[in-house]
Amino acid sequence: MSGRDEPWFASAPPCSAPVPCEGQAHTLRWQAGSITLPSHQDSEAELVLSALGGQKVGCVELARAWQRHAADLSMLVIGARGPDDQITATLDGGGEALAPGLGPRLASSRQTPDRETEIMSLLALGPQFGARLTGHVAAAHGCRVTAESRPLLTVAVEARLAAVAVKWVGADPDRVRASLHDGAGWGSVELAGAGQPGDLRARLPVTWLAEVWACGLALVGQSLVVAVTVPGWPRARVLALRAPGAEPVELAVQGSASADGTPRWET
Amino acid sequence: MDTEGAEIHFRRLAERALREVAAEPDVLARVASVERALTVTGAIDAHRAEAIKADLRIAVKAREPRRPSAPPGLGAVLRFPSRRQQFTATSSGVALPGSAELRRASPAASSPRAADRVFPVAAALPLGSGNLRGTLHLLAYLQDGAGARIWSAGRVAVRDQIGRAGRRGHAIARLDTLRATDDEGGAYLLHVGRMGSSNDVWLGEFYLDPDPPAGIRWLEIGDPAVRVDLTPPDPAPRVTVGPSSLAPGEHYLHRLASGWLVNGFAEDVGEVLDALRTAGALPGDSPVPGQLAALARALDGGPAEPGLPEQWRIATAATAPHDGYAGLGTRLPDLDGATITLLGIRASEDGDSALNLYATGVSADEPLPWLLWVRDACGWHAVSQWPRGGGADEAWVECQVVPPPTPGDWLEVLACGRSADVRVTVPVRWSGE
Repeated sequence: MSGRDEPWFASAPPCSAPVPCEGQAHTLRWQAGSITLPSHQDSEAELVLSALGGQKVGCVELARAWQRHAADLSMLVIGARGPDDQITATLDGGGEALAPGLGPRLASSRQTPDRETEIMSLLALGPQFGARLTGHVAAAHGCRVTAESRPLLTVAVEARLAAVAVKWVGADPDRVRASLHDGAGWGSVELAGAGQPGDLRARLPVTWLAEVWACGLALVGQSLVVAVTVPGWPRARVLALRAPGAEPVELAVQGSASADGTPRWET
Repeated sequence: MDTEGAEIHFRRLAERALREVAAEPDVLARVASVERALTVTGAIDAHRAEAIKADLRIAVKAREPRRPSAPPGLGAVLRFPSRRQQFTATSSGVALPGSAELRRASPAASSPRAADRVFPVAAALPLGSGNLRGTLHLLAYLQDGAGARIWSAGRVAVRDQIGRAGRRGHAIARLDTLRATDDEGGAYLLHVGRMGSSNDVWLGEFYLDPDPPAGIRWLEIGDPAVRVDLTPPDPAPRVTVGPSSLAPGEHYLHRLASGWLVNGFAEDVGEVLDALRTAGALPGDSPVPGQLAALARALDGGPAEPGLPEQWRIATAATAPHDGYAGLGTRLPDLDGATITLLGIRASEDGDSALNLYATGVSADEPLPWLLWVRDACGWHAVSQWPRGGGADEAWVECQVVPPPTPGDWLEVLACGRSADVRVTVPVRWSGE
């Protein structure tokens, strides 16, 4: 919706997470749309070697898993809907369901982790990686919504909007209904029907997930951000609604990030 | 049908369940009834629904409180827990000498072919040798390009009372030694083909080796010999086919009604009705939701209400409870891509009465694609849609019948598919246990 050449992640700060790798705690980093492995001197070469069946190490396997799921619509079903949606998967090897196979166990194996293990491991990187993965998936599908993907994308937008609307206007998440906005402009967000204050009806594009939600911009102050007009980090300009049905106003916003890359935006 | 609306509705329901996962961890059970309604009516493709549930499973797992192990989800089978008993089915006997040849020759490996001759038979084969005790009731004779076989059922006990399936399988495999002769002097071996057992009830087929000529009039089986009349019944079973008058959602609600009648209790269907309406599977002016509500009240102890479909007013009680079998031996026209052969019916005083079927184009892991009803002189009987036994593409199964059928010389079976209704009236001869 930004209408310019900037990628969706222009407003997303870098994030990083510690991961077990070769018996040590390495760092996995996301920055400007790419995963980097600062603990490995030649991460590109290791990725190539791993793809060719070479030794599998935690950082490299996570980076490859990220690539495999960066357009995987299932991640929108599985991933967190917001900060209050707690994902409990961890990378500490604390159980079969968590992240086996990405630490020492796979170091001497050429086996590829199964899909569930791989997804759980990506989720275990934390909410900031999860948000950015959501952004990648939404951006990959936002411009080519198909009959097959529309129901999933509709509910993916709706679920995340519902989580925001609870804080924005105290909405009942079960009474938030979204549909996909396909045309020009940003869409609409309004209360539906007289006498039913809990019913929130929205039309938003899939790209809202990437450009707004995944960049932590969905709620700035007490305003719902519906589009980014000038993307950027740490300064951006957005269109925001103070209330359902109100005319959007353009706001200049300023971001700061915590150590793990959690963005906080203020006007 | 609004398939997009149906999928969105299903995904919204899953979202709500996921939001409430802390209070109700079994998310898949929460969406099971709606999933079934939408897949059975064709509003959502079954594979699509499976993919959605696969993602949902991971989503739930990713949110589980960290603990050593979590209770496993009970999943969709919760809906009919009391009636879906285990019925172990195999396509051949157990591994005994000669059984490899048996498997090669078994029609189980053949493509389904149109039956040339299918009719009911009525004979009882006592089992008194070896470690088997009981009676096999011969129910149906089928002869087509895959060969000739006789389907039978009965209560069979293993003498040592171990009763494990494997032991029973070994014991029954000894029936491979059965011999038969026909009215023209032809001699045959009877091999055990498809078979299945549940508790002490056995259902299976014997196929004749070599394939007999089409015109034989009778067979004598075993020693002492039991004669099996192979003259097709006169009058022949009467089969009529008519278009279905029900919308897909109405058909599904009739299935729910049948399940309630089998189980004896109703369930909340509010979410199912919402889903069917959203999917466009239920006409706005349909009387069926109201009829279903009336049935629920009646099952809850309320007075019988007028206006219910006639099949829902099932016989209140058998006038003369009895134990027995009757052969049905009738192949129905193809219905919704599946073919049913009615094999026989069992009446049981203890309430465990069942319709025996052989069906192709179905999976025993799913409810039958048609709604079955049985009628006798006492009225209508509900038939469970969850078969006991079968495989991925074919099933030879028992379906519970409630209340037990009563003795008589005819029986009607109504098979309601999504596209058509098939009604069969079969002359029957009951044989006692």
